[in-house]
Amino acid sequence: MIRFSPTGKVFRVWRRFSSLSANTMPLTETITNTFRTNELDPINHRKDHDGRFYSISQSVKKQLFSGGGLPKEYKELSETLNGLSIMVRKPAIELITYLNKTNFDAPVNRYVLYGKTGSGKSVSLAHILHYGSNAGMVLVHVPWVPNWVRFPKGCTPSVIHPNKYDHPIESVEWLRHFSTQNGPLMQKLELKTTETYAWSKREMTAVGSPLSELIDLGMNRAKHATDCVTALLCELKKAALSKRCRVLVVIDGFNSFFSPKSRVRREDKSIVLPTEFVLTDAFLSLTRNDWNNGAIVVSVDASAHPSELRESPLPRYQLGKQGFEHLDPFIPIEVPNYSEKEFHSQIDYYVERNWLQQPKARTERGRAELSFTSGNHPLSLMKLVAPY
Amino acid sequence: MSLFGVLRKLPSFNAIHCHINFLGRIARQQPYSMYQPFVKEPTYSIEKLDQLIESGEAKKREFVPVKAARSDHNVSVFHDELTSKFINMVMEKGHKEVATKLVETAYMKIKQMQLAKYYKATTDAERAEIELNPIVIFHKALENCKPVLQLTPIKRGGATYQVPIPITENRARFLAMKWMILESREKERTVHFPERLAYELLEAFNNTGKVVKRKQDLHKQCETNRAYAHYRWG
Repeated sequence: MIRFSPTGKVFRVWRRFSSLSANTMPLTETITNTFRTNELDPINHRKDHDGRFYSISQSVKKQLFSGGGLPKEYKELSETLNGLSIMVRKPAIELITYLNKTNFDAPVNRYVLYGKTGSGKSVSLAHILHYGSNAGMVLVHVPWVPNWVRFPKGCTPSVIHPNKYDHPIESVEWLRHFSTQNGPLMQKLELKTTETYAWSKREMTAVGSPLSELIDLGMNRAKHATDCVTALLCELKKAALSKRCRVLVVIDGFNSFFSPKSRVRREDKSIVLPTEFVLTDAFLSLTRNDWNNGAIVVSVDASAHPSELRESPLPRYQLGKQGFEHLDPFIPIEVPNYSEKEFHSQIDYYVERNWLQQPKARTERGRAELSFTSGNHPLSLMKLVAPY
Repeated sequence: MSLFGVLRKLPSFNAIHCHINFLGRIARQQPYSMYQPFVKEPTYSIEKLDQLIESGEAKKREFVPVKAARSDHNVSVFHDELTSKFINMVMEKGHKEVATKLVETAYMKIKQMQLAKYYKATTDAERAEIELNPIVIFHKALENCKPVLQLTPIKRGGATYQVPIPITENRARFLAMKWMILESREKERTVHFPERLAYELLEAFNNTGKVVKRKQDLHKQCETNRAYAHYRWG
């Protein structure tokens, strides 16, 4: 309401805004529903587990994620809260249902997780990785492709492939990650090479030698590590085809393979595209649907591309023409923001773990505020709750 | 035409509210304020508004002019006035977002450190003793850092003496915050402001640390200079 003083000045007049519904909400703490599940095996996760947290033991976390796979802040938070617990959400449940019903004699299915940055794709992939591990599948896991494209520790021109580039350090790290994830399984499967690999005039890996020898060679000799990775992926594909093992390929930030630029430059300062990396060829060969007895789960994220290519989170835009034609046909699975049930479950978890400390924030009004200001977006919620 | 009217017409006095006291001297009421003296501070907390309505105070205030809302006044469940004040003091060159982020990161680090202790504790008694709420820790830490006396330079016979005088609540709060910020800015290159602030706040909460020591040094100085206390009155 506006009032005018005798001198002509305008004063703002105080009025009670009766339409504020927030003040009618009670200021007592609420925990809305049961937010945990005792079902610790992802193979058994179904629709009723939606919105519930299941905990992953320290040993499994170390085995699966010590080389990467969980987002940095998420991992730090799980360490602060004294245990890794992942929320079972619809995209992961959908994938698990598909994987449980897959006809492994048919060519591999390709699943693409997409959604806004921070909506939970990497964590869903982590869930699927745990599933694959429990289901006895060989895990071929790339934690975050942009690490190879944007922050390579040193690319060298490839000896074997002309005009292509090796990632010696990253390949050694990846082989280490592979052997940590699949160590016990590889010992059990005892896969053998089907070809001879000549590394130099005197060094070679003969036909029929165990795959672990190939991996060890790659880990010890950085110069040959990238070619070891290529050879390993080739062998796994053949092993899957001949029904000796079942392979689950999980790649986070797959669209980075088709990024328009990288941080690698040639001597003449021209930029090397990701499609000119040997590692790209290796993984693109594995993600083709010319083999069976496996599954390929991939995520595309806007943050995996440079800022010019972040307009839309959808797969066709993020993959580009080349990437789309490579992956087509695939099954797109959206990773949306939290539903109301998932949101309350997340807040319950934070309250139970003593992370959300402010007493008023734990109330119905506080939850309404958090839901509104975060837009039910998982990453935004995590950041809003962090200081309080 | 009153002197007051004359003054209001002069453009340079637009921002100054003056009144003429009985000696005819101009006494400044609210220098530099854009508002007239009768304009009230806004009440923006929903609980306080509800209280005013219940008590009937609201009816009396219906036509009282109120100052404009400040950008950091909000009804969020996370709003804390003391934290707002602190963020303003941390802020440099008007970069409020940076200052907010620094203080919020410090709160997060406090939670992390306290939770580490909490989950390490084995008995319920130990756990009950650990305070986890960063705002509670912040309030208590500031309380522990507030001095009760301050020194002021007073000249007597050519020499300047540091005389202990009483301190107002606002001044004490200001000094506590200022010392806390200054202490958190001194650091190694690798330890950033939020981490340092978190450590300092936790130490002050336990009545230890450099800021509490500074307060205690000030109190000691006041004690040594108590002989000059009468200089306050000439």
